[in-house]
Amino acid sequence: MQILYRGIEVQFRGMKDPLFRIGERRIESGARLLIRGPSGTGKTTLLHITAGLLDPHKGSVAIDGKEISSLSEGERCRWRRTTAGLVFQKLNLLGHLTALENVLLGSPAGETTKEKAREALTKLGIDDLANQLAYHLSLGEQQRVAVARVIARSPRLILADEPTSSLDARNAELVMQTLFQSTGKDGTLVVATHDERVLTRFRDIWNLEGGEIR
Amino acid sequence: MTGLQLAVLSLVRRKTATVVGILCVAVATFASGALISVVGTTARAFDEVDTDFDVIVGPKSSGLSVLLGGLGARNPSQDVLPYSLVRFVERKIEPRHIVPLHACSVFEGHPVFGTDGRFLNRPEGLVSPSVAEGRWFEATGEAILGSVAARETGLRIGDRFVVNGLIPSPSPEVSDWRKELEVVGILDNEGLPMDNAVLVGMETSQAYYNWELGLALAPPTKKDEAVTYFWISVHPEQTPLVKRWIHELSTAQMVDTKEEIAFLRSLSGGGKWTAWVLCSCILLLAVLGISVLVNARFESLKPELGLLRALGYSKLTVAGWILSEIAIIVLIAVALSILLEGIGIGWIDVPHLLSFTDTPTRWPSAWNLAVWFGVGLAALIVGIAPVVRLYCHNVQDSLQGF
Repeated sequence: MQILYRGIEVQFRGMKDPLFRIGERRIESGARLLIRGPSGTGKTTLLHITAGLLDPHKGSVAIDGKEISSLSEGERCRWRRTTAGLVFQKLNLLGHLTALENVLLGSPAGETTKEKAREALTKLGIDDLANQLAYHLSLGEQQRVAVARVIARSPRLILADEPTSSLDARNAELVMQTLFQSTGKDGTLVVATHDERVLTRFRDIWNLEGGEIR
Repeated sequence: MTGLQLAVLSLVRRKTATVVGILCVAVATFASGALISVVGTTARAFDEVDTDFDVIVGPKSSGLSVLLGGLGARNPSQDVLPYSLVRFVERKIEPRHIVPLHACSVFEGHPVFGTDGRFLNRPEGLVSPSVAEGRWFEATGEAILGSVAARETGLRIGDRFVVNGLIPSPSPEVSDWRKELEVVGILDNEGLPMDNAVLVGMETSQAYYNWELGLALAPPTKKDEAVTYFWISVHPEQTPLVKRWIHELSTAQMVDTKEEIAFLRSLSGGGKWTAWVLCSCILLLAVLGISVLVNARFESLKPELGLLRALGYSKLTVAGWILSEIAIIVLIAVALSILLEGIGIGWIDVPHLLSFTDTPTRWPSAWNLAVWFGVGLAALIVGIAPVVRLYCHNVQDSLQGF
């Protein structure tokens, strides 16, 4: 799954200068990319633009030749449902659902069966928490449920925002290993983080700093 | 996950909010249904009250009480009039027809009236009741039943039954009054409250009165025989004369039946309108309550809605979630209210509650169905508001901070 950024410029209201600019950048199919940079430089914003949750103020994002910014909201929704999986920085589990139900929630089309959901939880070492309400899970456990929600349906594009921020070294390693394994050969994994522990896993690294990718 | 699955999980896990929502709708629906049933029964009872007699005379009371008591549509008065008043009116005014009625005792909820052959044999121009089975009573100890009384008591021609005069404070010195009666006839159904009555001869009812008199339970009538009501059919222009004689020379109350029935019908119509206004207010309050809850919930649900959209859920699925939640609440609430109405309305016992009529409460009536349908419709309207808001809502607003 190839992603092409062209002339992207993001500027929020009240900002004198754009948050960042991307001239022309490409993420090749099968890539494992790390986007790093200090807080507030726009890593999350870039992931949201890639997922079609936000529109850039200028420029376009094309995925496999299809411009996301030209799609309607419904089409973007359908695209995310079939192609992309997102791990949010704030996890966004539904507290009144169990861990297992939250994993199933990540599958609007219903392709994730209970078995697959349990398998995903097992891979992340939290299968014993399957029937616990998300309210009652620790932050680290919630983070792993959020990752399980994505890997259970093996999307072709995984966009993970700070997936290890609340995890100890062992679990951070487990999560990264699972994300790598769950992204297929042609699949693309984009991780935004400032967690230095995961750097060594990536060959492709974008440094988002000073409003530019270096 | 489907919208329905999301709705069920949401309702099950948020038990308190779900139970409160269901109870609010169920209580409002039940209250409206009960009100409609009570008012509907009363209105039907009013409609059944009719007579072709011009005047009814009874003990001092409101016009409505005399009319309803005199026609057997409610419990008769405990007070009595001297029988000499009947004779006086007959002699002085010479009306077309008079029927005396003396209320004595009650048999299995059916009033027992003493009367005479004039009840059955009326002059031309007045509808005479006809005996469907058997014959009119001819001797003490014989009784004739109205069609409803016969059906409800299950008594047939030749059956014997006992009417009692129960003393309020039983003592060894004074025994209850007991009179064994034999059913000799059953009247045709006239569609009037009198269908509910048991009719006996005046001698039998006077014996009961004398027993009451002996116990000082009944007001004395100067050693005269007693009568509770009498129906008068007058010649044209005699009504003012009857009114003058009755009101000036006795303590009795006279009502012009046509005027009083017209007043009764106007009350019935007004009652229906009042009930519908009250019902609408109750349902409106319930709907407003749910609307406030649903819209407040929508505000708190914004991040969840944003999450679902970000995960790829269509607006249709999310709308299905919201509508399913409301539909499930309303379906359970209406089912609960139907159950409550089924138990409660029978228990309320409209006739005795109002002391007014023996008309059975009809449930469910078309009006009850209208209330249930109205609740469903109102819930749909309430549910549409957040769905419209969902469709107008910019998903990116919900995703800030994700």
